[in-house]
Amino acid sequence: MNQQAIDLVNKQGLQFFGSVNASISHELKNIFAIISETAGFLHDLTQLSKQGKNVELSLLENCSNSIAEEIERGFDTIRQMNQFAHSVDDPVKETSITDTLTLAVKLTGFLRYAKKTRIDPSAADITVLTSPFLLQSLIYRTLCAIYKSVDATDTLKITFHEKKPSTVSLQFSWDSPVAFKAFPDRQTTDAAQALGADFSISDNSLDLTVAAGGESLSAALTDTKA
Amino acid sequence: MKIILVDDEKKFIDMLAKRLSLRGLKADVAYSGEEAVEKAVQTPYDLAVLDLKMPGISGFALKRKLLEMLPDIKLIFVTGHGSIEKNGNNGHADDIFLAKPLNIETLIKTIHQTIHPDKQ
Repeated sequence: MNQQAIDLVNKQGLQFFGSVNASISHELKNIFAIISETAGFLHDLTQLSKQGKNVELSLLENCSNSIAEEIERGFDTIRQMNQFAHSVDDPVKETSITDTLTLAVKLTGFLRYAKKTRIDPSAADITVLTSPFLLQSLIYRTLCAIYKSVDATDTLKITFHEKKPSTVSLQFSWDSPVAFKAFPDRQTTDAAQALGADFSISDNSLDLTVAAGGESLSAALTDTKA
Repeated sequence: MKIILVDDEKKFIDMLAKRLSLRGLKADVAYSGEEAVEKAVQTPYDLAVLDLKMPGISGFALKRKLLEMLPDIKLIFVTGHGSIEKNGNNGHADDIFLAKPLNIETLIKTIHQTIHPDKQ
């Protein structure tokens, strides 16, 4: 990995990791709060039953289903946390755009200002030789900026395709016109430069063009192994 | 006593309302700040239990709106965050915070203390 990227991971990495982990812990607390209240309600029903009061079976069934759903939600959250944690395993590697986008959408989905988002299911997956952590960070920051700017009722649409030569274009689009105030900020610009990425922003869309592993990243990979 | 519980976690707030009801405290629920404001137009609530972080109107912004509408309303904030910051830009040192997961008996005690601070 080149020095600029190493410096960026060191400088921005901990802050980004902290931010994502804070939102994940908030999500897990909400899940545990629901399970806790449901278990408490089951205890209440048990006490009522002990007092000879009739307790409808459907109430117990609803509680049981709710706990099972929240446990599955918790496992799903932990799977995303685990996937995110592993994004720093390899400084540079072949990285799936679909997987990176999907994870970024799920992780940003924990933020209170997240909007409905749909990744184009017809977009064929592309792998790029890049820093998976920096790419994840760049897409996450991009999504946060869009979520903060677009109308609350808008649904964000994301699609991507391979562009020549050796670049991938990711397009984020929405319906109501938006004027971005301070995007890309310094940190986002630094991350984009390290990845050989460029932004093109209009009122209704944001295009992110990412290098799909040209000579510089290949050299960076060689440097890492040396 | 008229109470409203506000949280975007529907299951959480529904279950909390049921548990309070079993203990003799009836509470309305709202799943967003906007819905809470609509309900407050119809009902002069004595107390609101608010989630701090919600999509749309946040807990602190909702506090300001509710106090404009109902100057005597009492407020309790509930947060899923690890740390409870009372003195942020929008908070106040006198704000009451409870952390998730809640203890129902602690919540009820806090509700009574908030409504009747002279009986402590």
